[in-house]
Amino acid sequence: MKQELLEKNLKSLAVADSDLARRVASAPELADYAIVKARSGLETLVLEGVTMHSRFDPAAEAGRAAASEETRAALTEGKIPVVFGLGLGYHVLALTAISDMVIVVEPRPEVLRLAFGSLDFTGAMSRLRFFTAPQPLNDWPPAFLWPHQPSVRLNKKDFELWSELLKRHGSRDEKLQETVSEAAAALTGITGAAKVMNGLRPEQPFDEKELARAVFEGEGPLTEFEILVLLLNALSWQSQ
Amino acid sequence: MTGQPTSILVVQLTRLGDFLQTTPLLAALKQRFPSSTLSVLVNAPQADLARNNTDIDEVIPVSLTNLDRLARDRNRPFPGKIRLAHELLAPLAERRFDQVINLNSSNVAALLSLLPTAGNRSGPSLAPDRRHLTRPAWTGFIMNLMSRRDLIRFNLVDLLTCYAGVESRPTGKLSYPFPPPGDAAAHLPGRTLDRPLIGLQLASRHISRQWPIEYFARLAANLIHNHGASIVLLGMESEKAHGREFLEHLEGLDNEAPQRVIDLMGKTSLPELGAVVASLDLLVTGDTGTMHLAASAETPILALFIGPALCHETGPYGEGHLILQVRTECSPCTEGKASCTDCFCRRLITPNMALQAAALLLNQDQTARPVPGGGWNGVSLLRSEMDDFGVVYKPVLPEPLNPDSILALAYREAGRRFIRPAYRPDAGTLSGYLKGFGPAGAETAREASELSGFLVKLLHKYEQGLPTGAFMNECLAVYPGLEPLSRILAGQAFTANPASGRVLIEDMLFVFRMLDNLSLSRETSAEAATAAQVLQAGQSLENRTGK
Repeated sequence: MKQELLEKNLKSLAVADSDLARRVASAPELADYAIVKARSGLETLVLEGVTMHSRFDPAAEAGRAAASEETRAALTEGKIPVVFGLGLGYHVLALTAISDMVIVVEPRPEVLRLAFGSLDFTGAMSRLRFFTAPQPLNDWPPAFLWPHQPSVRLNKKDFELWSELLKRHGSRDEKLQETVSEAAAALTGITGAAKVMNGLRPEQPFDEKELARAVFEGEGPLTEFEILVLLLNALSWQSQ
Repeated sequence: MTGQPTSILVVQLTRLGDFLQTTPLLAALKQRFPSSTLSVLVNAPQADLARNNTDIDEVIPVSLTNLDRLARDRNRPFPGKIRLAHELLAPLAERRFDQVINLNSSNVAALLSLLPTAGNRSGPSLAPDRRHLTRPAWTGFIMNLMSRRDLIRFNLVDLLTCYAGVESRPTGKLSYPFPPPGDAAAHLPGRTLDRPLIGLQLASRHISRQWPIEYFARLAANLIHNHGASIVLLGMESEKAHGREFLEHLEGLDNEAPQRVIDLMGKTSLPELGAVVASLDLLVTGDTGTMHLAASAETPILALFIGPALCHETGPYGEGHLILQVRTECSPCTEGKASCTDCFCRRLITPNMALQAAALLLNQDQTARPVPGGGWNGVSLLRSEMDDFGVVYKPVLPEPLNPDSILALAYREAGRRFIRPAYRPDAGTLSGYLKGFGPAGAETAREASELSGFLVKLLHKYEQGLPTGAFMNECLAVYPGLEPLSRILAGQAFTANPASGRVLIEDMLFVFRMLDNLSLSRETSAEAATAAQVLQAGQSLENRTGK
């Protein structure tokens, strides 16, 4: 643990999340852990009997994991990684090199404290968000879960909770990100959109099912907007 | 369709074979409205095929794959999807046509056909509830026939052509979509080709439709041995395993035979496939897109119709093709829902049957018939012919006339008049249908009498108002083949206009009466005699003006 590095990281974290920075600063030391040298000379962590990173070259291992095909595919789709488990954070830093935003879920502030005392996160802090407890992801763009497997072994229940949270976030198709009035603005210029959108409650979160229901319940000749809504609806059903 | 539209859009979003089966409609539209601009909306993979059709003035491609991806994209907010769909479909939505004809029974096609502004629309369209489809009354007639597909005698090509609103069949063939083929050798490099050149399309889209590969091999071995044929294997890259299996079987039968085989599976583009198919002396195939391509090139076809495939619906279009049609208690079955796991009917057509049928086509003797050596049970050999409505498939080997055959003809004649009101069934046409059928036995005559008796009772019920459900159930319990009629009469087009129901029943009765005169036993029942009386009592078809 390097005190100077810890303080430097905490100071950087406090800019975005001062509350978390305080909690990390006051977190007790872990009871059962060891920091050992890997063959590459970098530090690695053994926590509660689980080796958290490679004993040979943790940085190289993290680089390989971050560059996996699955991860690249998800990033290409515009999703952000939600990393479950920090360890010392090699994989998190590797991900910040290829993703503009990385959410890190680490249930134990004590682990954050340990990591902040081991690696320098300040250069990547603007692309990082740290969560210790589950919370709604409504304001976040589409995301995918990136499990750090040794951490998952130690925090199975938390991992399941986050899996469910991410699943629900994905299934919501981001529709909770926008209110009806925001969605209506995005649809300006499509014939018939204003009439249907005006029928929805403007202050409510935009819900495509509610929109489809409004179109199905409409009467008279279909407008272009109504046709497009029904078309996407029909295609979704067809492909299920 | 009334007046002279200056612009027509035809929506046909299905596959290669379906597009080819639409070409007579396109020709009919161009023939009827020569000064109109004819546009087609097609799925992107069919765009090149459509561009080669000389009847089409404009091809509007839409990528259903892209639309499908867009609909399933979980990363894009729904408003973003709408916006992108709006942009993708702008070339369609910004257009105006005098007439839009949708040919596909899907909500997606119905919705796409609603995007352009149109003076008139025809074909399946979205109902006022915005969930279901409405169809023209005559398509309702056909859809209800689907409850007994074995009684259907309408080919898809002819039904599609009905959308042109012409009273008679305008063309007898599918349009060949490519320039005239050159030497087939250009596509079959390095080979001196022995004639006859026979193509085998081994794969079909579902196993229940596919003839066993080993049977193809046995047929090929005999064609090589007996006719000195060269064999060309046709199919896609994904079907190559069938080709390997075929060659293994063939080598087992005759180790020199594989040298007479040219394997083009996965090696031809669509135009190249067209050129090869056009240069064949014979194509042996299931119900496939390659079959329709060969029909458009007027290449003789031996089609093997198995499982769900029914030649009367989608058989090879044009004169003189031969079809081996499986005919069992359970056929035609429903693809994907077939309860049998072994698809036993695939093996009912034997290599020997196919060889005999192929010999007929190779000898080009349209009157020749194979000498059945027994064992043709469960399989009909049919030859395609054209009449004024379209293609019909008539037995080559004598088949006994049975009540179902008569009922099928009655549905065809009644439906044909329903679709084209100017048509009048006549004895000459019906006599033509009988070609190939053997004489009716006493049992058939009795059953036919009974059936016509039901129709007479039904007619009387109509005289008193609409028949009750109980009465229809009584009819169906005795003769299930009346189920389509029961459904048709229960449809809105008929309940709203009982007179049209009476005309339909009278048309069917007319067929029974004429066939009775032509071929059945003269010993008619009292009910059949009543039928004749009803028809003679001033209600003859010629005098009716109900349609």
